[in-house]
Amino acid sequence: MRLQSYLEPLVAAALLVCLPWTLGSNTLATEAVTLALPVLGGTLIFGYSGLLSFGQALFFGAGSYVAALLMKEAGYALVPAVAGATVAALAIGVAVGAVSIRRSGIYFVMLTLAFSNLGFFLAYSASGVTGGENGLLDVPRRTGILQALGVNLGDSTVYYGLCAALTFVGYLVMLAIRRSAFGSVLRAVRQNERRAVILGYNARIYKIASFAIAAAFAGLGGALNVGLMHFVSLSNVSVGMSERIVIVTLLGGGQSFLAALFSASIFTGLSDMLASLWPRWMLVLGLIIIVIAFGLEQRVGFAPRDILRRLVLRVKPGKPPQSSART
Amino acid sequence: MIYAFQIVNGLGLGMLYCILALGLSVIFGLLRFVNFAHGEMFALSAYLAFVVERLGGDFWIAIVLVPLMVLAFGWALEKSLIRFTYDRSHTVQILVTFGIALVIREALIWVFGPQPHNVSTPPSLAGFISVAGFTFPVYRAFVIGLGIMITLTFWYVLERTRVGAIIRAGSERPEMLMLLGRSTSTVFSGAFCTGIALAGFAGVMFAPLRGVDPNIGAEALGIAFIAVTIGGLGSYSGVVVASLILGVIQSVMSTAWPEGASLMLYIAMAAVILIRPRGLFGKAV
Repeated sequence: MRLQSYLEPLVAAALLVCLPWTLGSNTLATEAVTLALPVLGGTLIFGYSGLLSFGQALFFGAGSYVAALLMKEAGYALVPAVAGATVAALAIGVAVGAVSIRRSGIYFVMLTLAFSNLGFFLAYSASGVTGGENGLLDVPRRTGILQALGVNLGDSTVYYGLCAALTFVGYLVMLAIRRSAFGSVLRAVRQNERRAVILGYNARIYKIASFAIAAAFAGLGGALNVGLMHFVSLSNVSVGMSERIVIVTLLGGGQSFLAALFSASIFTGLSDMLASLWPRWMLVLGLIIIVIAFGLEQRVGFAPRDILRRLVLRVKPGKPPQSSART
Repeated sequence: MIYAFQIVNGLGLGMLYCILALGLSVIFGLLRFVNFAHGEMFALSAYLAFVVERLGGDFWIAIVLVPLMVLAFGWALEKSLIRFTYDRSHTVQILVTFGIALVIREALIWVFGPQPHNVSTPPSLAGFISVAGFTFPVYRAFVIGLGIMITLTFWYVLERTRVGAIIRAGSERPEMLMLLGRSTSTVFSGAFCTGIALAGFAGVMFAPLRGVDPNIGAEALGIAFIAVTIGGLGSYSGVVVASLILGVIQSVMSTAWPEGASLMLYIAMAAVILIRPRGLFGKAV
């Protein structure tokens, strides 16, 4: 094993440990890691499978609602509720992925957006279960057996620790996927789907699997977010949330999982700071998105690793992988 | 009785959706370009109609002026940004237009605030007409009439005129068009501006019905997406039929189950995708 393969996880761990101090509060740090999870998923499907999804809020929101209902109505403790929410998001991800993947390119993007809207209006209409416009309020953070072991999840530092640990595990899972055969098939499908199919890989199954994994990550993020906020807002399942996940994924460059962690942390910190300065700061973000989009195929490095490579190692960016989004 | 009224009402709403979705569809059909900023163009037009009213102008000024204004805006956008994305992947196009949408939405909130504003029905179109026993607002009847007119004009120009022939040629064989001495960039920006102007008409017509608020753009984009998904992207008749169906579903549901009215649109879309993924009138892809 080369040094580099240990370096990245070490940097990620250091980032997660330092986050509460860097951002100045446990709450903000927890918010950052709950955003980082859907962004890790977004990086997998956008950067590795070439699937641009504008519907990740569906899974984030589903995770939130399921976790909240499990804790509030069914009386489950936090950990099983979060696990249940993740599995639920995974299941919805398989279903939505299987349908959306039937179309590619533009249609896929439109379908994910439409499914996300479907989820939004479902949550809005089923007000008996989801609280409709008001959302689900007063969700307890039940500790369960962890209490007996002396872990007090009510403490914000402990809760951040749990969320950060789960995020780190999620990050390691992504690294494992990247190094696995599964990851290389995803890249092959992205670069030349027809060729991958001819080589005998069932491209559909691989795409659905990566989509479902991303959904599970988003669901986990949504579930942990409930534990932080003690309520589920309808905006958790709104297009605005999907857009935020897309934006942060892009700011991270969509290639590196470490960059995804940094991107989510920086975004959370900056948005907290800028929102108090100028509520319309998202306008600037719109302009940044346009610039990034133009630089996308040149791989002008927005990921820290690319910048490092170019500045320190003076390596020119390689020929960019062709996006398979064009139909 | 109330349902008969809602069905006619829904056809009016459907005509509005139709103009909106046709705009999205013409840009896609001709340029293979999906415009994520389409909803915000619609919102921008509705807000401009609101401004015209505030400045003391009436609806008739707005319906002529506003589509021209957004057309000019669309033209400037096309020349400055959009045309550089034609030979890029869809991902780039989607992100660029998404960025534009974000900028427009935030700018609208910045200038007009997050709260909704009312736009009054033009006095010359106020009141009710009664036909065969039921009364119907004049303005809604007007929306249906104007909607039919715009749709027919659009169809006529595209299918029966020389300009339409050039545009269709440009979408299918741009190289051939160039060899024949036509500038493809003019044809492309013309098509883009046509789509934007259609969003402009829809926005102005929409404003007196519901008023304006910062969410209408995202909502409109969602509806335009369902309309083209159900109708089959690239099929104009599909868009017309799908829009009318959506208008009627939403209108009837808003009486039967107001909270679920929008949900039903998406359920209709999901049902169509499951049964017929390419849409009602879509060609096999």
